[in-house]
Amino acid sequence: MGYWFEDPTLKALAPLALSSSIRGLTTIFNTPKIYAGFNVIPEGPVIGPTTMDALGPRCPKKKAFLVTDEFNQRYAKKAVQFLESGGFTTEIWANVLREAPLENV
Amino acid sequence: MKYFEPDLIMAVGGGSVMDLSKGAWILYERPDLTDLGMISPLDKLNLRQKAMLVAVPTTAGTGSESTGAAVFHDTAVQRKIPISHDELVPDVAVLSPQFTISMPPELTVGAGLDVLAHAMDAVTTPSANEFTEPLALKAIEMVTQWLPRAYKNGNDREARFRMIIAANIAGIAFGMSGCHLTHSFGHALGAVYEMHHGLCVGFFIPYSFQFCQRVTDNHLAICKALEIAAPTAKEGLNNLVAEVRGFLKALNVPLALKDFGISKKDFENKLPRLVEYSYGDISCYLSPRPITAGQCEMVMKYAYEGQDIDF
Repeated sequence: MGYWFEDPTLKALAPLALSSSIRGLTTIFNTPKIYAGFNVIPEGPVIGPTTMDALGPRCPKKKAFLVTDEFNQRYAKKAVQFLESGGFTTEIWANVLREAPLENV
Repeated sequence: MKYFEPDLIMAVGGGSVMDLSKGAWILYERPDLTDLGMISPLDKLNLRQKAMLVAVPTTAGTGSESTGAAVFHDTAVQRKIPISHDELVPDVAVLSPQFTISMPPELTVGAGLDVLAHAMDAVTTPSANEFTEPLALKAIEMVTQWLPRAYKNGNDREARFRMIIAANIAGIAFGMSGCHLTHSFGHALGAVYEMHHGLCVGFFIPYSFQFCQRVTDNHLAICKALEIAAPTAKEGLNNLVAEVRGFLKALNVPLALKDFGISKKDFENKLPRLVEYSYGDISCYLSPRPITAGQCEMVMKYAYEGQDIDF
């Protein structure tokens, strides 16, 4: 079995596709909506725009599945409190292993 | 996930958690795909039919919250499997610095060096462009200024805030332009010796600069950003490499593989795998200077001894 990056065509195309020689054909600036700061997962009411603005309207079922590891469970719990304050039902799966083994996915 | 049927998947953790969430998200949306290692950037995945992905990093390193990249570890063959796809860029990234405050100093350094390697590669790769270069240069400036502070005092809130931003903008930059040799060699080292990813890629920054300098003077942009004297391209490189080595040393990062406690015999036994994995890594193909398997072997040998690359 080979991996996708062992495909000879892709290997040949990778530098070409990204090379400056063809710059100007297509450049995609692809980023998430970013919320940054000490109050992005607030523990109480917030005045003004909040992270929830980006989540609530796009999730009609309001069901959130949180993926984390043992070490970060405490932060996942804070996120759960935040999501539940926005009407989400939540479930935490905290079994991610170090370096993301394929069989763990 | 399959039974809970969420419409929001939130990854709360470091690179492994965010990468694994991307993998789980693919399998949730596309149960017909079973082999993540075969997903190419050219495939149409058609995600976001069932759920959106939100990433909440708890380290300031990987930048995975803003990229379409994910790296898995194939434990059966001890190999890193990177995948990259535009559709895997999360919908929302939530950068909460207080989630990084409890990172121990060693992890802070490892994650911070990952940021530095992303940014350094993003500047020097041929695919750097007007969108990516300013972000990568800013990230380099920020890491050199704030990582030592975050390392010395994990409770330094300003340093933690600046580092999580630096990690994010370096992620955006390399997510578009790709990484090159620091990550080819770093992935191989990390897979064979099971060392922290960020430490491995950060370790190879000076070697990558030295190997690439024959074909590029993009490092001069970094010299300019860091106010490092560069009367000529060669002198600029030497000064930059000295600066990076000084930076690594101040963070207690070894400058030679042998100083990681790897014996010569063990290194020689594992060298063929190190070469095979580094040469086979997709990042190799984005290097400004094309590299052969023989050159990969030489770089590894030089890195073991901590010698300057002179070929």
